[in-house]
Amino acid sequence: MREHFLLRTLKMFADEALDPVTVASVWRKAQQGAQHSRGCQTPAVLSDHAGVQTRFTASSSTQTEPQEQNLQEGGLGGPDPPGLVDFLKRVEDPVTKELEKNSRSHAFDGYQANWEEGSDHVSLLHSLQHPGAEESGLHVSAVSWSCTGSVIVCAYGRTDDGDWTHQKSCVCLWNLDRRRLRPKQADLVLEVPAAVTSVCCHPERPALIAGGLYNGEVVVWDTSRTQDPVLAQTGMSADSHREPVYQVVWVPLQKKGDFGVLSSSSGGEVLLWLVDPDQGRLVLNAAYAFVRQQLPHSSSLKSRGSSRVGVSALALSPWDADTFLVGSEGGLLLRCSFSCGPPAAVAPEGRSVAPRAPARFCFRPAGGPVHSLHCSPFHRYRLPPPQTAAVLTRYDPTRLRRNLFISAGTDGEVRLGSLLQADPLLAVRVSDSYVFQAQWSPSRPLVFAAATGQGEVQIFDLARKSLRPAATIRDGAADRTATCLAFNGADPRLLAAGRSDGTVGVWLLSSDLTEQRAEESLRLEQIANQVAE
Amino acid sequence: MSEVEEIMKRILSHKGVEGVIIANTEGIILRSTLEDQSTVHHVALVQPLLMKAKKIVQDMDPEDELTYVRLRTEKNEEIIAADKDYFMISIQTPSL
Repeated sequence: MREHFLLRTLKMFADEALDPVTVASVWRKAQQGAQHSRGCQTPAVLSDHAGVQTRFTASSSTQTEPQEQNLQEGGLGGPDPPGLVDFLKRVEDPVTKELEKNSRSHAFDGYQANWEEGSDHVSLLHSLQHPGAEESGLHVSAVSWSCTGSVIVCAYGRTDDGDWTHQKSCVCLWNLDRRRLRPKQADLVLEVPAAVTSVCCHPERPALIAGGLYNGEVVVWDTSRTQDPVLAQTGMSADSHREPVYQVVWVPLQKKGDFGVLSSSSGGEVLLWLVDPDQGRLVLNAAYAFVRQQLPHSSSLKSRGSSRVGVSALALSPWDADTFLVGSEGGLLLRCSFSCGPPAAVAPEGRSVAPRAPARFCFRPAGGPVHSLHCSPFHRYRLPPPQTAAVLTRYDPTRLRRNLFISAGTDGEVRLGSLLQADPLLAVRVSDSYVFQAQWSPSRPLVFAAATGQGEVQIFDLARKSLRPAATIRDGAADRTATCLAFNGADPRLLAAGRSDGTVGVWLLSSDLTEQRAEESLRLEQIANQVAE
Repeated sequence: MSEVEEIMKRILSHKGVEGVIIANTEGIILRSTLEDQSTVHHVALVQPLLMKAKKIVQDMDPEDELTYVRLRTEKNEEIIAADKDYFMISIQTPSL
């Protein structure tokens, strides 16, 4: 560095031809005294290299001499340095032993390191309210997430009284992905002439929402239409329900991509509707009626009161398109089939489609009305080993999907059952009061959540040894019941819970409740196989 | 074929072994079955780890000696055997 500097200064003193211009200074010469230079010393300049950073580099051209090609295979050429052979000889045997051990080892089977930071707590993201609903004293009767997971649909109605009020209510939509989410003001409000009991978002088209009303109507809204969001409705025709609709669900039909709306009511019917957008009507496609006398005899029932069985809960099986589960107001749990079934023993009542009796199998009844049913979305059927496959080509009842489902009712318990057997596998005590809704988590096969009458949402994890809840979501006063809940299918960390004070809370779940661990499906199978056939 | 190559071939013939790199403790690569650039990268990253591991063992118990360092990742496992002058990295995919 110093040499470089000296060279540059020397260059500055190169000879140059210039016209000399001299102006002699007169007074200075006189003032100048004698000057002697004694000596000079400067301390050494300390320099240290701190760091260098290039912001950008530009390469104009480089040139290298061609390298000699390696003639040896896989090696770097050159003679073996001394001691290399000895080292290798020494090391070869132990390394070989380790390699062989490794190829046979099962030490790390199923171990999956998780380096992502997870959250430990369940936290409230948003608390959504609709002032209009709150003024009318409406409860949140149902929540549903759209298939994309960004819009939450909340239906308002009353869950406690049973009279035919002509109270107007509404369905509110909030888009949670919007930046300026206004929790007190819904992004879209759909006015409804009666209290809404249930909503369900279309599984593929985010704009369609099906809703069931207290006056027995079923409505389909299309939120992409600006003029009139009502796409189709049943109206008060001879086909529609006469009693309040309890639940509506979108059902995949024969043709892929087509969906129908299945609605259940306390009048004892389950109706399947097709959407006819041109006429704005829902057309009845199939009807199923539940009559006490036609239920499978594997249940001990007292045939008292009316012969109709009011349907209070409905669940579809994700693996078998023909099966659906029904829970009744009397506590019955039935497995039903869409396609086969004798005609129902009811008066025609002017319906355009003759109803059938679909019940195939009766599970052990619950202690009170069944409010909610949900089938586990995780596949539970394992293929038999290849050598016995030939034997199982004939119809074998064990090949039916051994799907698990949970049911919740007023007895304060959530029961885990298998589709193949009558008795429940497990009964989990959730609360001392009613359980309004129970749903499986879409991401962890062993987790389910239940909304209780005491205002809490309890989340249970079956992987834990004890049956106490893994997490409890409590929001505000204990006298507000939690009436409904829904997991977000697209983002499994979000859980929405609606309460009787009209608020909907959107909660972010902790990572141990949402991330699937190894062998959870196996554990689920173990639970289902507990009572061997 | 020299002895070194023979030994390397034997190690490579084991189940799941993908590559072998031999270098000296200063990081100069002597033999390798992987291509040059990734070998250089590998050795440059592994060598400080090896030095640190040696130091740990020496500090904890002066009479003890480092035999291997095994680095297991989701995709494969590396067994690094070292002594005073040289070290060898064998990369193996476990048979799961």
